[in-house]
Amino acid sequence: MGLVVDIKGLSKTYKIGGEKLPVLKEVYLSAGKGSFISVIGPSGCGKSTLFRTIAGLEKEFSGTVMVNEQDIRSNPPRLAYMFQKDLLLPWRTVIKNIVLPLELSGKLKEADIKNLEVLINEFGLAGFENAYPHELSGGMRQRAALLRTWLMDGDIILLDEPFGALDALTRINMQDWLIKVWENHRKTVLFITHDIEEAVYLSDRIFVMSKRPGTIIDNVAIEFERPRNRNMLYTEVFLEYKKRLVTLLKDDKLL
Amino acid sequence: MKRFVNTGRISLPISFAIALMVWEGAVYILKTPDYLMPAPSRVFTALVESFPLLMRHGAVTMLEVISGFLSALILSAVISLLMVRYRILYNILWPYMVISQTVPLYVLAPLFMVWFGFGILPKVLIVVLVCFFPITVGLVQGLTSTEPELDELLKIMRATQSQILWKVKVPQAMPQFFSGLKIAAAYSVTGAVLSEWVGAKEGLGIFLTRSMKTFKTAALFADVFIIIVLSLGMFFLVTYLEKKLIKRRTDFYEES
Repeated sequence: MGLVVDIKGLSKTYKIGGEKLPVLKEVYLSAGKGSFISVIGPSGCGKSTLFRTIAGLEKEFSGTVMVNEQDIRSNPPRLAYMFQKDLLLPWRTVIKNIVLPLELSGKLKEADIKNLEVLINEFGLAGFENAYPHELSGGMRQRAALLRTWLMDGDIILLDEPFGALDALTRINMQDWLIKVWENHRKTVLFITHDIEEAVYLSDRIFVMSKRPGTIIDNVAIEFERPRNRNMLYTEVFLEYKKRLVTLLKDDKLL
Repeated sequence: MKRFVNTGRISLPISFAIALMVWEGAVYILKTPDYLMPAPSRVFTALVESFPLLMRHGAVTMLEVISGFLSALILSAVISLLMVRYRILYNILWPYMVISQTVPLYVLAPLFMVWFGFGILPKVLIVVLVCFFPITVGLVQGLTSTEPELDELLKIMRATQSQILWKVKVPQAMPQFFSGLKIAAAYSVTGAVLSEWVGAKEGLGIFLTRSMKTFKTAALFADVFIIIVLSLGMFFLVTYLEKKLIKRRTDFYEES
């Protein structure tokens, strides 16, 4: 399995006024093709900065970041990215929002819209194609934003706390749904969360970050079989994982 | 909620009718002479009598208003887009635009007349000056109000500058653009009237001056009534266009 994301010794310092604020320190992280990788850590530990750097939004850093075996400094990466906010355009209908990436790259054809039907169904948006974002529930908006992300270039998807703003029940449903969609498509997903249960349920491997300046303290392979189901969360094995992750985060005096 | 809406709809005509009756009654009881304060009924008679004349003058004023308003609209659009694209232009032009709003119009109006003659050009220029600022403020604010994350998302999607402008920034600017446009529309008629006031061949402003000088106060009130109706007309025209253009976005307004 080739590594589609490979980060070695990534450090980053923000300069605020005259002061230097180290955000990331010697981060090592890698993701194999088609794997689901989570990054877990306390708020403000630099998870988002890490993702922003991978996406090419942060230009100044030390270390190397390889995406699809190419250095992002010389080859701006092509990947999909989703922020915590859905960032749907309020004046566009759901379908028009979803096809934005295709529209921008000039790939939008009538035939594509036909093919989209399958995806729209899968993302639970059937019947809402012509609704406006404000007419949708939080979960639906997030699914629309996710489908838009799905249609962005590249097989690597960076999700920065996509379910962070949802209520607990919607969140559980979204997790169940995401895992099903992901298991169908097997794109590489990098996922930020600070929810241990969510991370264990979804991921193949979890990278645990320390508080700022963020560094990877450890990584834990989750060996539940796929397809996953929620009952796995009520087993001894799950509790072992949870205990291990909590201990890792707690030793860092975070929880 | 429903009851509230209903009261809103009928409260305006009722209060207006009461005000008219009080006014009519006061003039009748106090026997105020017409040239000081004409009763509403006298104003109405004057309105009917001078109606053809008022229409002729109104047509001239509206010609100035429409040409000034549209010129300001085009000028604002071009300058706003340039200022948003080139920060340096914004830094240079913005102070002058603010200063242009601080020079009293009743000083500029006669000056423009001296420079550009007795025709409609100086009037159109005053309307442009009145309308340009609110439209530009709304447009510049709207065009620069994109969330930083949205800018970054578009960057990741590799959108070109012109795609970002036309597919995101311009539509996003519409609510604020229309706010500015409504202010401009409401003031445009007054701007034209003020510049006619200092000197013109035709127009509602010069009709005002003439009525005043000949103590035809009722005719003056009738003229003011026409000015109000035309101003409201401009305002509601823009409101109507806004609704047509950006319907189903009520929630968007609440959000932003």
